[in-house]
Amino acid sequence: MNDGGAGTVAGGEGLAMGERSCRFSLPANPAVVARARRQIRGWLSGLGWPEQALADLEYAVSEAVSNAVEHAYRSEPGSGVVEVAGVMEVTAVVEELSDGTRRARVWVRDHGRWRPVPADPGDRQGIGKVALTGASTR
Amino acid sequence: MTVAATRVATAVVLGVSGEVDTFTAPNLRAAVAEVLEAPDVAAVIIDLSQVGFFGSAGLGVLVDIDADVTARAAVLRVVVDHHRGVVEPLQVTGLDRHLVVFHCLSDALGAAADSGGDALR
Repeated sequence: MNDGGAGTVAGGEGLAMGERSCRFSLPANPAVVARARRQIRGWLSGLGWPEQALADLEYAVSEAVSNAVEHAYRSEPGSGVVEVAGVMEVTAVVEELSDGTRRARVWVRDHGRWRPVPADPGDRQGIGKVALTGASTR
Repeated sequence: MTVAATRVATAVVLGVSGEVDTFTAPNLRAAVAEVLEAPDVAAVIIDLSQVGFFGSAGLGVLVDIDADVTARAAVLRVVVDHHRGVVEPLQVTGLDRHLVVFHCLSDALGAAADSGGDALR
């Protein structure tokens, strides 16, 4: 099992589920990435989350879900793209910090396997991670 | 995501609206490929001002499209307004310095083929 890698907004075991949490499962195919964005946006909107911070988190979740779809459930290009049935889970919680601010933590978890690292990853390898990091570290 | 192509002299404007992500981005490249089938296209202008979400798949596809357009001896111009959801991914990845970017369609249409575009900042 791999965590989907949502940078600083995600990761780790031992999530404590509070009242203000959100959890949903998605089939692992590219069409569900938009649904993941809607779910997170709807949930955070309901909590009165500021738009800019909401958009950043929405972006990070979208990239993490895309990453899970692209890397965990698909065969290598060249041998034919084969979609493998799979489910990923998105879990999100809001935590109250001691300084009075709130923090949202999101886990994107898939059940796929890491594919082998290609010999030539190409010049665009990691562009999503760069964008994700930019969106999630503010 | 929807893409509407409009011919303006030797340029083709592709007006993109909606969300560009892993699922939809390949369709944008396909739309450009279709445009490039015409023999006399000198410039392809991708107008992203009606795009609400622009994920990294969109960034990757812009790089591919730039290569496709250049291979056909045409130029690519990208139009973005100040919508943060589109501008920031371009800035964070530095792609705004690699592509020729304008802030409004009329500037992109009026620019000479060798124009350097606008700075996003």
